[in-house]
Amino acid sequence: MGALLAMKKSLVILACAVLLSACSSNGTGQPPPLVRQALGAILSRQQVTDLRQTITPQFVADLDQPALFVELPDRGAQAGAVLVQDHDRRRIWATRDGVTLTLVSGVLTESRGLGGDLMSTDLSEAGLALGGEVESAVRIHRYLTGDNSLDAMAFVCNYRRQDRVPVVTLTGSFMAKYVSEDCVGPDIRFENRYWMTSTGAPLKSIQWVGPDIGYALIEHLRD
Amino acid sequence: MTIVPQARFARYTMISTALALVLATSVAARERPTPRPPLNFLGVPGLIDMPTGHAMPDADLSFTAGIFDGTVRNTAHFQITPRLSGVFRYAYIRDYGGSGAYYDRSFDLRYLLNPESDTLPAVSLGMQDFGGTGIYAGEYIVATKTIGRLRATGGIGWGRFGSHNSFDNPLGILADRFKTRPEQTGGISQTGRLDVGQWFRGDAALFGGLQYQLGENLVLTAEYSSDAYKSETARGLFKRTAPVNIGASYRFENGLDLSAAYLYGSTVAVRLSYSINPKSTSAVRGGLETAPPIVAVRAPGAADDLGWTRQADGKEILRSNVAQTFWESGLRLDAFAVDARSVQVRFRNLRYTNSAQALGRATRILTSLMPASVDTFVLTPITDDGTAAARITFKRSDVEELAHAPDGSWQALARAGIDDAYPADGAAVSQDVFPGFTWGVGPYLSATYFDPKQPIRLDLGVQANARYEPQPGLVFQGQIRHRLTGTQGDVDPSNSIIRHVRSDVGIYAREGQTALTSLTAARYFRPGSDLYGRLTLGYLESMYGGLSGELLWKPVTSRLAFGVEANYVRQRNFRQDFGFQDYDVLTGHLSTYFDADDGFTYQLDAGRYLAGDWGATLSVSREFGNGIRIGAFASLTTVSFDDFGEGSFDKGIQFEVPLSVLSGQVSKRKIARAIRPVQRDGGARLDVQGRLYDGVRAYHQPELQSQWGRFWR
Repeated sequence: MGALLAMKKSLVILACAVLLSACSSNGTGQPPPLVRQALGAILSRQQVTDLRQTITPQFVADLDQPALFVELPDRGAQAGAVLVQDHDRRRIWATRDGVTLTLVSGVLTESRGLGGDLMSTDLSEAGLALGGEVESAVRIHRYLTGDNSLDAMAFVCNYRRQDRVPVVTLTGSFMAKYVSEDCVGPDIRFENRYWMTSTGAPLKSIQWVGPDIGYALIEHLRD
Repeated sequence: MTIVPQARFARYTMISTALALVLATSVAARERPTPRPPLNFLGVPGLIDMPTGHAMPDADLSFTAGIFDGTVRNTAHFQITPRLSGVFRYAYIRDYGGSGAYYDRSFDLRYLLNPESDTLPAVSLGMQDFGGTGIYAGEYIVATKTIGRLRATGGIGWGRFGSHNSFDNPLGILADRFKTRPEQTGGISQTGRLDVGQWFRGDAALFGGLQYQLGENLVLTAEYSSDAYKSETARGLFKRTAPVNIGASYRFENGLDLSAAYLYGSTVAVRLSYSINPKSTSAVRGGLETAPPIVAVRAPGAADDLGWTRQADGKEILRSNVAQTFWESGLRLDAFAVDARSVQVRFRNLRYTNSAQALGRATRILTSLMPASVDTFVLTPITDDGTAAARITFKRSDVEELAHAPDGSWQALARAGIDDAYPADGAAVSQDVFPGFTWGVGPYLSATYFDPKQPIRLDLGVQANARYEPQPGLVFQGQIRHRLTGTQGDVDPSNSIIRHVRSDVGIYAREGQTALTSLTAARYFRPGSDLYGRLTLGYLESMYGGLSGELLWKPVTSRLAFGVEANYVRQRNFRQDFGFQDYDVLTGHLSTYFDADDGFTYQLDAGRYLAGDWGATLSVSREFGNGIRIGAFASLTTVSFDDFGEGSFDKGIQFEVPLSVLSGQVSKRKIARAIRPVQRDGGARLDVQGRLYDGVRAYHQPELQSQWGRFWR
């Protein structure tokens, strides 16, 4: 059904694009982007490959740069991402098709290129809570509305920590430090989970990105 | 530091990794439920045929088709403000005007006098068909109260709503004139006039009904109607045997609302409504475009390295790198200047609906390409026509600090300098974009609406256009159309008794199968601070050619702007080649523009129109942050209502919908239409391209601020 809807949408876009754009002198002689997008969606069958099959311990061992594995279960999407900026505690990761995720000490604070993106996160208290200094905290997310204004959502979160918790990742099995973060807002509640090494380096997390995206599963393949 | 050409920059999008796969981005944008009251068969909040007291949510736009027994009522309802709504209705009634199809256009206004509270009901006052041919003319005051799952409605109506089981008008105690409702003279000559002399006059009647919410999506309705359907029954078109209607409506999650009803003991009716809210209707909130370039952060102390300034070709390499990266991001570098501490770029936004997003991407690119010592970014966005719209200045350290700040978007706006771009900055013009030549070939679709015989007439054909800009602001452009098929040429000949300055549209369509729709030379210039100028010469539009000049005063932070436009034009021949008819006119307007709160814009144009008539046009629009714009306009001129003919004066509705809202993809393309109930010759304006206000306004306050949420997107 999703494919059918996608195809219908593609046909609508194609019709609009043909009606409104046709060909012009915008450089490469290729059809305009809307046409390309619509044709691509109709002509290609999306290949559903479980990326987990590809990421073997040997594959990880051969990596020559920091990399993440990201999965968006609600979207049925998986991708690899590489580190493109490392500044202070903030690390920005990018996928090949133009999505970036910003993590501060392993906590997702921004996304771009997904649609319904997490524009920014105020983690000032949550950072302390994740570090074990307080038991509860407020985090504030900002999202673009359909009207292009920024809508702030505030959540009150409670934290629980456990020291030696077994966790399995694509890179192996570990005994990890574990933090769960239960957050409640006026309309939405979510539960983030973090697994870290004994020194606090992130191993794996499941974090809520936003109402249009749902959760992201993030595994750190190489830091 | 040494500057290297762009190709050697390792850009993150090019980083290869065996891991990466395409990240599927199918998105179902989630809407929050809105408390939409059900609509009735006339397309306004109501029971079945009668209205209710509630208003739709602010900015809701609803389209309704109500169908029964030879009648189809198509209604567009727009909740203009939380309390005021406007309606345009286009009804088909079989055999109403004799034999065959009869089309009726009507406008309503509704005002919510009191929103529902714990103790008080929602109360609305409505004026239905207050200025059309009067078939549906009626006024009402109605109250609705919700008790649990039940909603009870009671109201009093006049006119059509006071035609069944009526009694003396209670307003008669105020003045005797309320006791009688003057007969409508009817006929085409009366259309479009406000029937002020009829409002709330004559007998009144009571109506009411109950609605019960059964489950999440189903509403059952029973009503007592005070509409006697006098004119329909008199013509033998409708049988009304009972005053009671019953119905059920089902609301789908996607904004569709379907209802069926049994009307007046004689007929079955169906209604389909579709409601959207332009404030939240974007296909994907925040858009599907790829992530922006990353804001590069300078290392501490790097700003002191001025070594690059001694590199002979350093500035040219920087310019080239910026031009290339801008182009890849949908921006075109028009001019560039850099020194040890600042950079100035003049650029055009080719891709983004949202001008703040274009500024944000340009700023991000400069952080990654400028040497660390360059601490000030001066961005001058140029309109599509080559006018420098504003000069926006960022401190690089602010950009670095705020790119990831929780409230970074608003702080970036607060710290940006937004100034007039006059005088010009003196940056060297990019030789690789001037002279600029662009062209396009493609299909076109043009439409005329509300012809008495055919509601929509379409022409389909191919068009070719070319544009040459030898230097910034000097533009030569032309367009040719060839009609392949269509029915616009079949419009009946105009019966206008004044000069046919617009109403010969059928002859133009018929004779101009291959038409030169425009061929102009235009100069856009800045004559002084806060001033913008345009001079256009040539075949300005499909019906007129000549000389057009415009001057606009618009300070960058002002909500108010003034413009003056003067044109000397001659009417083109019907074939739309190079010839003219024997009619010329000096036409022009003084324009006042005001950008009010909540996206409301007002424009008053006073002056002389194409038929030589003098008068003024008031346009009111509401524009949303995503670029959707909905408005209405009306002109009153020295052409009398009788001389004007059908409709009495020029008026219509206008809307713009960016394609990005529909697709989620960035694009500057949009669908823009002005729709008139009837196109006549009074109050007609020249349709010259490149009018200054809209292009300039996109980079001025308060418009820029309304778009700023997307600065870091």
